[in-house]
Amino acid sequence: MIADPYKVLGVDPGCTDAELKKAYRDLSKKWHPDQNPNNAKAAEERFKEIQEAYRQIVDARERGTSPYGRNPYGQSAYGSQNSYNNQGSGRGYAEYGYGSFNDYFNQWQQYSNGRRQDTTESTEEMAARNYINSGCYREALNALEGVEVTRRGARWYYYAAMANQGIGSNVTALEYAKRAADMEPDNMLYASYLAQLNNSGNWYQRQNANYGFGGFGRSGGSSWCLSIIMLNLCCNMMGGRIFWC
Amino acid sequence: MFGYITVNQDELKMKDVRRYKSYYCGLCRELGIRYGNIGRLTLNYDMTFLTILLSALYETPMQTEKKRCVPHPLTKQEMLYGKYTGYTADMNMLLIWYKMADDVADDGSVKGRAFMKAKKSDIEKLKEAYPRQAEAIETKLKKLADAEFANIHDLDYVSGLFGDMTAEVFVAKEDEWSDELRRMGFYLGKFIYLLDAYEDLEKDEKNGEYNPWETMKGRKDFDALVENTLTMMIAESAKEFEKLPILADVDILRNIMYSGVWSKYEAVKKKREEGRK
Repeated sequence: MIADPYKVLGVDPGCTDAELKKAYRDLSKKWHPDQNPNNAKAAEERFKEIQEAYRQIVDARERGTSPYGRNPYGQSAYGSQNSYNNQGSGRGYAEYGYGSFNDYFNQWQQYSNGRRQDTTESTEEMAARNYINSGCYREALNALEGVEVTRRGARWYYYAAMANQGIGSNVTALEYAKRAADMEPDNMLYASYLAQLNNSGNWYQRQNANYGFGGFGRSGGSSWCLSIIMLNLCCNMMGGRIFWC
Repeated sequence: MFGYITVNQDELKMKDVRRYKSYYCGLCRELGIRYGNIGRLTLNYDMTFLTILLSALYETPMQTEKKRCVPHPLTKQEMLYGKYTGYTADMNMLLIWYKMADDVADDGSVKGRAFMKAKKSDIEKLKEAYPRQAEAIETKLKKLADAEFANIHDLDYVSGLFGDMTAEVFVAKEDEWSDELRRMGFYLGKFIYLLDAYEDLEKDEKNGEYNPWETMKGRKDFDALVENTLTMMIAESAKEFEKLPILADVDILRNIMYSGVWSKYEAVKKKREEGRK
């Protein structure tokens, strides 16, 4: 993790997102290896640092300053370890991680570390938990499948929710998170995980309000839309004939 | 494609509406140049969105041309185009090709056969130029057809296949933004698939055809469920979008992501409500 990412980008910590993006763009253009054929290696180092600094700030802003990286997928929580940089490691595109656990990851880590003393956790669940920690969500789901349906308790649903979120199956993740919370209504961990899943909808609504959109695109059609419809009709009617243009 | 990823004109400044139109016209121009009249017929809003997204992300130099065209024979139209207009025109053809192949396999579509015959050599070139995207489109659409045939109603699974396909299309080239673009494309694809299915609910029911929502449509909270699910998808896509360092045309893109994408949904919802009265 970079100690002072704002310094790397030359911006004030209180800068707007637009200012941040502009700073990033200007610097990355300057230090792109293609722009620096004479000292490509040094330029690449700098370029990567700029990338990392930008990502770090963007992630922290999304979370609200948690120091943890956004996706627990297979390696250190931060650093520009996206699939592009790992091309040599043979990672398929499906493994770059869909679920952004963000600051929830902190709670998950605490929970996970606490399992060492817990004897009620089955071998399959333990395996799944370890897989989730390394960002191997499909393997986690495979492990969980080994548990008979009748033996699936709240914890099973909680792990299954996390793993499903990790592979981008957010509908199932939400469903399972609800199940876990229903099965153990006093469990704060499950409740907060469910809240976190529901949060993205709230974030989206706030964005809507921030950007001044009055609810979901409420417009009963417009004259321009109609003219585009006419355009499409027109084009379709003329299909096959030769035009001058 | 479907035309869901469009602007909400009422919430957009006039200059941005004009700019959006010029991207749209620019794509039409490119489709015409590369694929003739058949190409122009495939023009849609969704690919226009992708053109704007990639052009803005990479800030590629754009060119303009003002021309008259068949649907606008009297006034010259401003056409805005750049490197990524070519990319999205190519992706559009690939997508439509595989969709047509599906239709032909499904019910021997005459239109499909005609399209495929006309565009066969173009597609061979495209498969060679974009092997990753071509492979993803072909395999995911095939898996999707199989899943629908097998009556799989797992929303994540079926919409996820469509999402996997759009994810690859969103990534024009592998670079530092591949992950964000893939995730953005993935969730947007899920949104499109599920919204399209929601729109087709009545029609599919009447024709006894598969629809991923059919096992849930009887629920009392069905409308809320649909809206929540769609919101989940677009929210995840929007989150990724906000991570991209985009400055150019950001008002247009935000209008689409936060408002425009709902226009069709609102129209369909209204129709269903009126149908119920």
